[in-house]
Amino acid sequence: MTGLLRGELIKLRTTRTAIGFALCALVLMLLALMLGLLVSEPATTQEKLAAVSIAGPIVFVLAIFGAVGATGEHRHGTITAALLIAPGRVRVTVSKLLAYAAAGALAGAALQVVALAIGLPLMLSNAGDDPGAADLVGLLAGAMAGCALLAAFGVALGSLVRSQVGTVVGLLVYLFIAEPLLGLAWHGFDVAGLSAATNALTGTEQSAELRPVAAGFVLLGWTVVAGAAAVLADRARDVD
Amino acid sequence: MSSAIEVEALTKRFGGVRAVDDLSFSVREGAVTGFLGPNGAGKTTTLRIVLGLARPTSGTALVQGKPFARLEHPSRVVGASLERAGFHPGRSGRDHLRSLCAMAGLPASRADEVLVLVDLAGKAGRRRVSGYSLGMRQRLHLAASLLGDPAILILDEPANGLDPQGIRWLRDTLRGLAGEGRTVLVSSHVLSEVAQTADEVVVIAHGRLVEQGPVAALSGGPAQAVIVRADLAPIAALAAALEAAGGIVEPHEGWLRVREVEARRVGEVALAQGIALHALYEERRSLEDVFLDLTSGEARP
Repeated sequence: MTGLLRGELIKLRTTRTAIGFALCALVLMLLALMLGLLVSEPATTQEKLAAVSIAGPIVFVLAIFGAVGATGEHRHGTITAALLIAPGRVRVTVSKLLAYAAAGALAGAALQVVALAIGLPLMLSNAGDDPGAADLVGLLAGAMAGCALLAAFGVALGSLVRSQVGTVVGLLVYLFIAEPLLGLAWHGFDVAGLSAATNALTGTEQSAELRPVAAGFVLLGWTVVAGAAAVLADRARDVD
Repeated sequence: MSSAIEVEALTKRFGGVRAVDDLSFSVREGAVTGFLGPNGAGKTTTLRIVLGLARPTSGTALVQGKPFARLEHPSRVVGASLERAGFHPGRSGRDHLRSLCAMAGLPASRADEVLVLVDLAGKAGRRRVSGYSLGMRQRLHLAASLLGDPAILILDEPANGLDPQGIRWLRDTLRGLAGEGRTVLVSSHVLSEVAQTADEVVVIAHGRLVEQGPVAALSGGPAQAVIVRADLAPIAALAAALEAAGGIVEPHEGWLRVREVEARRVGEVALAQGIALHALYEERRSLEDVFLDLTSGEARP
């Protein structure tokens, strides 16, 4: 398993895909941060934390990153090369999930540190209490966990769907159209949907119904369900 | 000698189409076996089943007595290259191999070793695969299959898209690998590509076994005719003498095609007539003719 994980990490490091997605997330984060600080004046500790937290759409870039990584294996046929070397499909899928989770956590940490480094000094003159060290550690942990879980979810979904365009378009349609509509029909999606759980975990929104740790478990559940579905589907599917 | 690969009553259906139909054959350990058939015959599907990438509808495919996925160290037993096994265009050939080395539990230095074996060492190995020619990609495929220094090599259409130089390189490389005692199963839709390298052939058409045996058995068989060349003036007399000897002669400008008479007898008749021959040889069916006959005669049920 360690070898498979190392192999996946080598794959991650040796194309420009990861750097491209990291830059995309960085630009989105900077835009969201500047826009947030320009149009509002956070006064409470919670408002200040929300202003410097990594917002949902930025974390969703990591989900797309994971989806592109997993579907790229089928698109380029590299999954075949991997399975010829290591035929255990479950182990290959799990190692990819773990590798992308690790990359997501790293990206989340980097993005959150940059957001704090830029955002906190700009809010020094604002009224109200500043966030304490525990708040900042919690924010950083939430960002890392959120990015890790969303990247892994993207891998799980990509492994299930296999089609790159289908997965990415489907994910975007679900996140920005379907889930808000489902939330209107059933409150559960407003609380434990991907967007709501991600925002609760990263500190963008404080939800009374879903604490950050619980939100982490909800996202983990989404990932495990998608991953299990991918593994089960693979039992009956051939690889080209 | 035991079998390295054993395929038994293998069938694979895609919907209503039988891509592989009750196929059985074995690959002898230490031999180079050509796996032949026209495009769409079911070669790649069979290899994918042998390599655990596709599940058979029925039947079994075993490598050293086990399904490929259950081998303890698969990369050390079987090295395979399939056409569909691709590369990320933005990754270098060397990095592609290094990732596979890590997955197989092999040292990263093995990637450099196999790059040397396939003439992709140095700058070529460090280039992104998007800049590779088809020949370089085929070499990289072969390099990947050699990573675990396997006893068995399974190569799917390795000569596809290669220029004559590339085909010669591939032939020499396969000969070298076979000379090291490896079992090689190489698929192709062109018999002549593997005829010079293979010891045995397995020929399939429409998913069914058509022929299995030594290459020599395919190219053997009686001569179709005798071709004889001589000076223009005496050739008419020679034709008449050969017909008198029971031959059926087709006269051409400066040469005759003679059937129903053996080459030795043609020579004797010419000697008896005092005619100097410029050439005398047997006309046999080419390997391609044999291959086409074998694969086109098998009708789909």
